Amino acid sequence: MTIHSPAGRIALKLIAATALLVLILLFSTQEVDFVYTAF
Amino acid sequence: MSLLSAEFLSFSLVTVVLIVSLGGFTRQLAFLIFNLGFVWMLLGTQGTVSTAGFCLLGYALARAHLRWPDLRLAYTLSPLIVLFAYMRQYEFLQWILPDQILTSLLRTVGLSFILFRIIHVIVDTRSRTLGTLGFFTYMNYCLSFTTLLMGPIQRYQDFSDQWHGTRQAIDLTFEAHFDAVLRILFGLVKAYILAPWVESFALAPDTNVLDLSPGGWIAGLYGFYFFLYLNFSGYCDVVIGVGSLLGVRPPENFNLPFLARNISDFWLRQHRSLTLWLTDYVFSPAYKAMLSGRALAGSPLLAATLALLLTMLVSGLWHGTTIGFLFFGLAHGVFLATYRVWDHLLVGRLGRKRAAALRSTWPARAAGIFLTFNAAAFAFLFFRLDTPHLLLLLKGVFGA
Repeated sequence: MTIHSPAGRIALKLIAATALLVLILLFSTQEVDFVYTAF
Repeated sequence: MSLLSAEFLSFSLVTVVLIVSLGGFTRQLAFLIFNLGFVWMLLGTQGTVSTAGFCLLGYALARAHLRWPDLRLAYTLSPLIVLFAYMRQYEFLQWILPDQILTSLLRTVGLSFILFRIIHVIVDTRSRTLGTLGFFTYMNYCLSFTTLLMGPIQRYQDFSDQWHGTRQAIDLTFEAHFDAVLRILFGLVKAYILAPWVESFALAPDTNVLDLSPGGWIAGLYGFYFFLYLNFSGYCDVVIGVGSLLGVRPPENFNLPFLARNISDFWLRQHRSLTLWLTDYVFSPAYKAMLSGRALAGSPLLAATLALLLTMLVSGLWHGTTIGFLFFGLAHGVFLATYRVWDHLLVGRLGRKRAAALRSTWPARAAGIFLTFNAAAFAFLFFRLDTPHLLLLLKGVFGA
């Protein structure tokens, strides 16, 4: 499904961004080792 | 430094705002100061000096090729690679160098990525395909805080075009900028929520795999494969998002590697920027050199197979300093060479059209995806296990 209205698209993206932000605030782990930093 | 830390997020925000609002030489200088500041926050003064010094050596060597066009690459690449091997403290160096030399190491970060960027600059400078080699552009290219730690390995021409505004990193619209922010958030979810959860199923580096049940093998290897993907691609999402806002977007590095239909396709979907670098700077020159030699001149398949093995050996050594990474590279070299020979035989027997038709049938595609997924997961065993546990496994398997 493609949303052609720019305002509709941005509204959906805004909802997605808010959901991701809430997930990060609630469930993120602070201690993460990035495997490739060792290289 | 955590990508979720206030330090990193505020650093990125300030850098983006300043770099976007500045212009000309001030922008170049400000970005270099920010990049050096980033290295300093990670490593302190000594580490900043040694990392910047390594980049400066690369610049001097590239300049030498401009000054003396006939200068051989061996003369410039050899000192760089020897210094790199010393600074990376490869495990095998302890067999040939005295302990006191190895303990006085120069601290750096992301050195493998920096080395490949510098080699690319030197080789392209010599072949006159680099474009203009500017000091500040070069230093910012090597030390850009977005790609310093873990890539992706951007090409100098790509960085320079975007940095100097010849090409826009993203459209100048609100939506394009919002997409970049979404990409950062999505990457943070991958790296800081999904990856740690999946890691709880992944094989630990100190696992005695001979004690594992078949189910334990599968869960451990698949778990590590998915963990590595989420960990690395999540990081890449964040830096691609930050880079897009900054005006220098790094290249894409992942494209659902689990859906690769063969091992060659896998390497174009997993750490793609490394694969393209290795193709241009290891595989192609090695293949051409082998074909131009007397021994392999009439055997392109054998030359390609040997060049693939060499390329993946380099890839393995680039990935890490322990023996496990050598095996990781060799395993992928054998997979790629086997696939190449299989494909050659298939085309020889059926012809190009019928071979392509066979490959596109759903059973062939499903079998390809299944085999590639499991081969890649198996090779990660060498990537994951620490040296004592890898040796334990090899002793158990070969009875040595």
